[in-house]
Amino acid sequence: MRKFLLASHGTLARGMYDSLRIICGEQPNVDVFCAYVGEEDDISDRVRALLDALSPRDELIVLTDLFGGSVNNEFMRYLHLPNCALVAGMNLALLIELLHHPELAVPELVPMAVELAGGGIRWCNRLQGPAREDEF
Amino acid sequence: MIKLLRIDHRLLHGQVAVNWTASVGADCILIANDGVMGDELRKTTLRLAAPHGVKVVIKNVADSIQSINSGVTDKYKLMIVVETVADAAKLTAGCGSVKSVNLGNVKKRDGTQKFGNSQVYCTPEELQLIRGMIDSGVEVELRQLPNHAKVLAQKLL
Repeated sequence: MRKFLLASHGTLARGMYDSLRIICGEQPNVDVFCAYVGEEDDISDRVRALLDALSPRDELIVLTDLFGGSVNNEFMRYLHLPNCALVAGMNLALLIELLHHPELAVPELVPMAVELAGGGIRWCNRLQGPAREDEF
Repeated sequence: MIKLLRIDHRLLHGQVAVNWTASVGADCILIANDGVMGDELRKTTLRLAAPHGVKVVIKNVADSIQSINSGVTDKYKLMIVVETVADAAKLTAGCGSVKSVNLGNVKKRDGTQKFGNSQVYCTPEELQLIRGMIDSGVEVELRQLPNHAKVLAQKLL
């Protein structure tokens, strides 16, 4: 089974799930990891426990909030795991795209979703409107 | 082929653009609405809301009916979005090929009542229009998202 983990400094990941739920409904295969909430200052053990608990029959796609941030850095240590993919720069478009294609294998799915989601970051004051086709 | 007719006062937005389009496999979205026709900014915004690779056509309700009946939309997996119950009633009356209506979001207004456990608020006149559609053999169902359970409007009337 394909699972997702949203991981962030603080509660962004939980908020991301909440927004996802409004647009796509509950997603039982999406989990959240909120780091440094409360007194916590070392997340290594929690991350290791999470990945140790990953069944070899499952695959996990981890989305973190910031490339180069400590949350992402922690997950970087597990890039050797064959059934775990790590994507930094989580946003809703990326998450939705990843969720919508369960039929695609990770090596096709992730680059496609990353490209599409990147294109969703727009400076709206300088939009080039799409072609105005009002006919079929 | 018409995959879905949805009533949604927000027209094309996240839930519709992302979820319904993918769920029904639509490659073309027709926004049938009289009000947006003169509003270029709103039309641009709606076009930009479309998912990658999905064509968006915006027409008034009368022209929409004409296009559907002419057969030009047959080559598409078409999803139609209207803003109001009244527009859906016009479309189903005008196009025999529309056999099902999805009630998604209808704005709360003065004199409206919440329809079941949904985001749909109807005036008595709108409930009458819904009854009319059902009587003419159209399925009217309430669902916010495609993965929610279908609730037939008939059961709530």
